[in-house]
Amino acid sequence: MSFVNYHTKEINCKIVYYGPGLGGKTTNLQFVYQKTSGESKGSIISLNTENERTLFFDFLPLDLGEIRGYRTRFHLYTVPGQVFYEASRRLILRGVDGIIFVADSQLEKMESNLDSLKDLETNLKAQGYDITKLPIVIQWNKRDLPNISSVKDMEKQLNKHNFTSFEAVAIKGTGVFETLKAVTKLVLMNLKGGL
Amino acid sequence: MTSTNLVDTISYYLKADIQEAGLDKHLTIVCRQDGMPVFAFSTASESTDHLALGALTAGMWQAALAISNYLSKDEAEMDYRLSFDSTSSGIYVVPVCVGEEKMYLGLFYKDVLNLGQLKMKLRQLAIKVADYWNKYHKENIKKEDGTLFTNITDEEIDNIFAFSGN
Repeated sequence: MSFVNYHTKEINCKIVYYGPGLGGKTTNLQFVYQKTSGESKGSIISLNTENERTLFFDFLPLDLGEIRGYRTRFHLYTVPGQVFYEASRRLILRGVDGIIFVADSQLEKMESNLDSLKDLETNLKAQGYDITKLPIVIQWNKRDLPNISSVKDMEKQLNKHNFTSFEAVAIKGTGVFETLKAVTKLVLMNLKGGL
Repeated sequence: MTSTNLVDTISYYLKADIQEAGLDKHLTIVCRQDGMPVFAFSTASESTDHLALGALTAGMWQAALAISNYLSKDEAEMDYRLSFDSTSSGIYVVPVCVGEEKMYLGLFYKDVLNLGQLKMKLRQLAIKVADYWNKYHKENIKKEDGTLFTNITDEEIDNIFAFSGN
């Protein structure tokens, strides 16, 4: 549910990083924050547990400057990945314009990825969204670790809707902006005119 | 999407109401359910991150509402108010039904002697927000099916992300 101000020519959109716990969602956001210049970034808000796991959400407003005369601002959120925070995830998806699904490439995480993807689909459906019609990009994260699934296998098991996907090592920044750029483009192309 | 002339019009009237109610030295914010602030006003000189406040206000309200569902499913969302306060400062949030949407009207205040009066003024302001919204809604909204942008190029996307060096 983007917010377009035609008078001041401003666009505000909401992007949510979704995925299993410890998959790298917050790491993505932190890298974006580190690489963003002072004028472009707002403050990052993290509602964490004592051991720095996401409790409710992380939030980073990102001012992207102008595109075709419109000042464009993206509101980046992460959800808590741990299974028992389902209620929080549902709340954070409210009004979402685009999703980056951060999958953990480690072999033993495949089931968590599948569960999280199913959880995403269920939560979107509960809010009236059709997963096939929403801008979604998948990130295959942690590609630098040993004992990882092949991209081909991950595509086969996790990407039945053929979303655009990227390999990443979020902790080093690899693939972080590629993924964000891809979802940004999809979201902007999906913005409805009028109002 | 939320209209824009609509927001501008409502902002104009709301600022006058806030000043008349003497709430202008505090921060008043109206945000949508997804946390996007559509209005924020204060005459205090302190700079405030409205975007973060909008995200936190909406998150706080929705978390409280989810908790309230464990107590009673019969209570309507519009009947709730949310307070987080000490004896003289705090946050007070009330829901506002605007057209088909719900929004949250929040007041961030400090150094207040009569909290009851302050909260009553905010509740009265909530009624005005809803009235303005419903009054100007039809005049300002016209829906179109087309997309705002077509054929955005990779180069344009690279340009807006130029700051990242990627």
